[in-house]
Amino acid sequence: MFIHFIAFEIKKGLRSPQIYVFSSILFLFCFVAVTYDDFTITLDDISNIGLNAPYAVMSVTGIIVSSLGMLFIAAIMSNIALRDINSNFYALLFATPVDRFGYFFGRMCGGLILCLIPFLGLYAAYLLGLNMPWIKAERLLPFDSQPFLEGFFYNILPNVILLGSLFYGLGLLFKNKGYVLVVAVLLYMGYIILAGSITDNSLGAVAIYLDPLGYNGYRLISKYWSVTDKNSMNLGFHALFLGSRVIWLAIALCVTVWMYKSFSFTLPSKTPSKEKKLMLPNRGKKHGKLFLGTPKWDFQTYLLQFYNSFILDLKGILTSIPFLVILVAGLFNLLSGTLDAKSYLGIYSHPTTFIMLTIIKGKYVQPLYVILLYYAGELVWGSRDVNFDNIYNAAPYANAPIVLSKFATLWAIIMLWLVLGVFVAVFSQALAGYTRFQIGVYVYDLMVTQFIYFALLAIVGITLHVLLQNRYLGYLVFLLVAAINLLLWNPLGVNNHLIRFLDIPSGFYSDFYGHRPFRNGYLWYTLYWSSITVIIGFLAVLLWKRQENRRRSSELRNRLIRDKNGLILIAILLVSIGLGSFVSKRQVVTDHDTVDLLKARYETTYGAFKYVPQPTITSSRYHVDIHPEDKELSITGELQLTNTTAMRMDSLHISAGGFALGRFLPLTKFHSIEVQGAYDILIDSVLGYRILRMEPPLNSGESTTLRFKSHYKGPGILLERSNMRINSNGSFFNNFNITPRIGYDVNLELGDNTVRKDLGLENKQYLFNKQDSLGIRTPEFDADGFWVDTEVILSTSPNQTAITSGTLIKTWEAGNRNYFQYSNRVPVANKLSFASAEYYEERGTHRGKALSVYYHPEHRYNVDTMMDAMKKTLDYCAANFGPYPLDHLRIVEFPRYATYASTFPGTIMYSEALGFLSDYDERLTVDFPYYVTAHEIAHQWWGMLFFPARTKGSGMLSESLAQYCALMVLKEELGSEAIKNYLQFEHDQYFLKRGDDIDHEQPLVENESKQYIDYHKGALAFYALQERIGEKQLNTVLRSFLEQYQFQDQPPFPIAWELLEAIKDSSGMKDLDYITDLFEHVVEHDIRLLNATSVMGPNGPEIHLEGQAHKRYLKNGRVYDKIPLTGKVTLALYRQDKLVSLSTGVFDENGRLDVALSLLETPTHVVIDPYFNYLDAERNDNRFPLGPYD
Amino acid sequence: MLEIRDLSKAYPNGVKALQGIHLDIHQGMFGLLGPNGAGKSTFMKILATLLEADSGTVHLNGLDMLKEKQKAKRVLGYLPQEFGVYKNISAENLLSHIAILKGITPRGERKEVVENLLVQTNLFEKKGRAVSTYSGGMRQRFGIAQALLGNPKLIIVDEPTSGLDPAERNRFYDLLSEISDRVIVILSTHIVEDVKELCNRMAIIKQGKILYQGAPKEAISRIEGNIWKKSIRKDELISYKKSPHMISFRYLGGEPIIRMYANESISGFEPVRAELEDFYFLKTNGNSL
Repeated sequence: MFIHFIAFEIKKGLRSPQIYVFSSILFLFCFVAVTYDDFTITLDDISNIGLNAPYAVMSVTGIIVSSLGMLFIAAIMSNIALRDINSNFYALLFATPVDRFGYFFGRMCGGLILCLIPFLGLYAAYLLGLNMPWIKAERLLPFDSQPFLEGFFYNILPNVILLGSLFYGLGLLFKNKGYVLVVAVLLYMGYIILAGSITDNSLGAVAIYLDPLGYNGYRLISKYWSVTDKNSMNLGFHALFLGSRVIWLAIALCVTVWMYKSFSFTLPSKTPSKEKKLMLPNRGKKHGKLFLGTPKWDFQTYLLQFYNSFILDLKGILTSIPFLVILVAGLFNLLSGTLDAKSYLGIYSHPTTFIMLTIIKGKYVQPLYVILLYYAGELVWGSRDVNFDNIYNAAPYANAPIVLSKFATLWAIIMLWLVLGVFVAVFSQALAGYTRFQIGVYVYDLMVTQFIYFALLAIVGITLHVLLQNRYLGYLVFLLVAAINLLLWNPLGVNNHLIRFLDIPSGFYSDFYGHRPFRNGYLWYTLYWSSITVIIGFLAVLLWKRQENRRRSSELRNRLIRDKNGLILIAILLVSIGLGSFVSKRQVVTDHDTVDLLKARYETTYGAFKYVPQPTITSSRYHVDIHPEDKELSITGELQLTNTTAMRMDSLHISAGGFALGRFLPLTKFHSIEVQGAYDILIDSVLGYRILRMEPPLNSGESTTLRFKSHYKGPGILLERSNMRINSNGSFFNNFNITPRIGYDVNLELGDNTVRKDLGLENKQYLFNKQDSLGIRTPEFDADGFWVDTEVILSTSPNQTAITSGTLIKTWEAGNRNYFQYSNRVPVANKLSFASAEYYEERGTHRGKALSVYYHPEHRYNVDTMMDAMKKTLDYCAANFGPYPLDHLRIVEFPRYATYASTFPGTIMYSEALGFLSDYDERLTVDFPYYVTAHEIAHQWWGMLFFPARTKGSGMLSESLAQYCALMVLKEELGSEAIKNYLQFEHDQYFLKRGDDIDHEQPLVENESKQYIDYHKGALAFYALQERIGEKQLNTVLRSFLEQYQFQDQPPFPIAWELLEAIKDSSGMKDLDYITDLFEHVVEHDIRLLNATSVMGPNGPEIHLEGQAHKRYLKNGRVYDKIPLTGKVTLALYRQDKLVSLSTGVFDENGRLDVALSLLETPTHVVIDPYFNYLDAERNDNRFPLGPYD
Repeated sequence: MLEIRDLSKAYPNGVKALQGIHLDIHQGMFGLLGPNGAGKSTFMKILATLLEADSGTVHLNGLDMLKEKQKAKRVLGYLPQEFGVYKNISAENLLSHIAILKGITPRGERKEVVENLLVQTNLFEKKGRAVSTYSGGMRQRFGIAQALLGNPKLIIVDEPTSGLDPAERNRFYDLLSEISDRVIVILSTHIVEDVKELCNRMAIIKQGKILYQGAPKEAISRIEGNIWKKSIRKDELISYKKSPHMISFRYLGGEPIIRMYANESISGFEPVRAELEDFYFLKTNGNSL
């Protein structure tokens, strides 16, 4: 009997389309996920590891089975649970002496087997995907079946059993498929919410047991895995993970048994009908002769038909449970996001409207896709589903009002969804005490741009159902359209928004310029795509199904030709074409393939001139007129070129290429370039290369003058951020963007090594080895000038301030424009920023230096903090490394089109998105604005006063030291206990980003521009170093290093090894191993407290600690064996959060620690290595509770 | 007058549902009688504009119903054989919705018409309940109410009485006959009783062909005097069934009574009054008459 039921269910299931639809969806979904990097489905990035790596397989199977797969399982199992009830077969079946056990479990097991089928589709797609020709070889590891087996036995099988039995039971319990799907959606949402709390918690590994579906448990296990780990670590017999899976399966089994016990073999009781007596017609209510109404057919009728259908459909959706569930879940999800507004690097931000919109667009609008997908089908098939269509379609309504009402229904749902989102966001803002509600920005971003996008998509969705005449086909094609649209264009390199379906570029908001630079483009694109969608929607009106057996081709012919609708369609089509051509003339779309080819040609043609000695810029004068409204710049410049070498020079090379994405603003045109005493012998106008002959040749020490005129004009329709630099408010560019470059320009070379390979170029090496003489001969910062004096006149529109490096000599107004003259009389690095916006200025003076912060009027929050950090850092650096050479220091805010802060002489360009809106007060973690400001100010020493050589480890001389100074300033300010938050931050960032590194990690002193090493490891290393050898001693070494290389303009340029050697020399032998580990090796430590006891002695508590420590070296991907860690370690004893005592322990040659301490105060816990002197990914075992005391 | 000429319809699977139907239907109740699968519903659906005919024409008072579908819908009331309704919408609101679809625009008029029909179909007291919760009879009455909306000229009711109890059926007849003096009502059914009691004209259809059209009375008169019946034992039934004269048998108090058609008396049989049902059975069994 049992076997019979299993077989019956499987046969039945295989005959229904459902299973095939689900299988194809999973197939498609997985195929795309495997074969296209741009399509990420897992919560963590897997694009840097092998496609068939254990981590990738576990992640893909894990996420799919607990999201999309869960919904499929719910649909299949509830279907099986309810089929007999729905078909009334129940009545027949239950009258037979059917075996209860066999019936219940047989069908359940049959269903579970069916549920596995779609996942076979997933594996089929996975294995097929791995063999696609476009898969890069480096993403394929040698095939190993173990990851796939583990994916199946750890993820798919347990979850199919767990979820399948749950949904089966729920189906029998609720007797309603809709409710089961609702539970599935809720479960899914809950699981997503749970995701964060499982992976970030203080429970440690035990939190795995909280995860019923395993995916987040796996993420927790693999949280700090490196790329090598992710590529190679199979779980195998992982007791903890296996345990959690088994426990949850056992729970599911118990629930199922309980369901079985309470499952009754009786018919569901019907609501008793009250219709017992039959009343005769009440003639008394009759109005004479039976009045049946007089139909009228005018516009009012159609209007009413539209309105009435709209209201009915709207009510239908608003009262349907799936919608309400998704809505509530969506709002809840949004609320949890908006109450917890984080921006860059997880730093809390003031809940500005922009942040709210980012959160809304990031986590709240996506369910609209599901809603549109589902309800487009419902609206078209609703009357058919309930078998009402015979009555409905015989009624003499007109197509247009009814079809339009379906569109309008979805539009209303979309609008409602968005409006509720705004309410939640505004509510969250108000709750946080933030009152700058930018309703206009909400309206434009959501009610206009998001609404229009989804509204157009709604038309497409409904039309697909009307045209395809099959509900499931409709769903499938809608999904396909969405998937293709999402995934196809980027791999094909199509970035034209006239082709990318409904991809209307809506721009990128900033408080500076609002949406203004993009509005024009948005308008025209919207008109274009609307007109296309009108054509699509028109087809829905024409072909709306009114009868059963129609021939659609002849119907279409009738509608188009006989009813003359074709003319209307042609008219709209003409409008679309007109709009399309209008737009394409005014937009600038970067064709990356062409740019790549140009760059390759540049390199192959002129690369030979790379090391031809060239004069350097020693003095520069610019006159730049900024026209923000017109997105225009006009520039004249005069550069003094000096031969600083010992050789004679007879040729001058100039790169003034206009092609995009190089160092120039992409639309810059050079009108004239003239050099005194030189004439052109080659002008390559395509690649922008010129060679001039200098007559007479330039002798050593001689100078000449280059004069140029150039012009920049932004595109009429703005699409790309690279063209955003000059805009209505908040322009920011630098001298390299506008100045002809002396010599061959390495920055124009192609950077992507895979593209280089395709174009026949060798891999690009950014930084040289320390032995390579080319490295120390070339400065890392690719300068065509080192130290220059500058003279700049800037003009801008009357309400804006224009800022560049230099002392402000004077300002004046002329011709309704503002003029500013800046000059640097002392030489500064040839790196100038130019900015213009409507700024507020906060001024201050500190020890004779003029300090200012230029900021957006609404971004006052952290200005005082920045000012304070400027002063403290100036003091610290001046005291330790030598005086600050300029008389001014400025922080200038720029719009959020880039997220960084960047240092120029005397000027810090600071993104709106970075620190200006951070909210530090309420949640004490990291004072980001202070930290970043201190870092950038420190760059005035470590970055602006000497040029490191182009060798590996160069970042250590700028970024790591700037990090170090920022930490030291904060330590002076806050004390060493509070600095722990910052160290923790750097520690977390290092271990998280390290896991994403595709290459083998290199030591700090050999690092090749990996930011996570320069910044995060660098900060920890230098902090640990000063703890070890003393701050004063370290700063002395740093100072003499800086003094040695300050204002140097001749090779050899300094390399990181020199600093390291100087440090080692000063510290002597005793700390040599420790320093070597910090800088010259990649080391992982494992430090743990094994036991800590405390007893109350005669003089106070006596503590006994036992610890154990190991370390292991990693080199070029090879992991060496663990060896005991020896040496000093800090021990901190706390009473609650207060430091009671600090002492030092020593790990012996076996890595053992055994310490006895006597204290005066009673501590509650002890922490080993509190200040992150060793890099130890797992720090939960560094802490041990103490007490209670008798 | 509804003129149907050479109406044919075959389904893609080869079933010829209608084969050259030729009918004239005047005002009043017209019964379309035929066994299950005779093509009645196909015929009804074509008349209701829901199905495309392969060939032939249908004209209602000069209106080409097959070409001018939208105009045809405006004069049509249709009660399909089976229909369902949306959940969670009351009878009154649903009726009002259909009234709007049928062009009854002014709110006051619509309310009056809807209430009228609810009273007529005795659903007034249950008007706030969702139709999906109605019993079969109530639902059928709702069906006729919606078919009557908008004062149609042609009302098509497809198997309306199946599933109704006798009292409900009577009320249904009552309502139909009340309007049939103004419009054409086509009643498709396999229940002879319905036609006998209601219709002044009828047609018998089988395998897509009209076997007879005319008045029920005329049909009966054709066989009057030629019908014979006899009470028999159950074991005799098999031998009688072989007889070419046999029309039907039915049970009366557990005893089979068989009816025969013959021009002259058959021994052991007594003459009875002819019934429409006799005619129907004879026709559908292939008797040319």
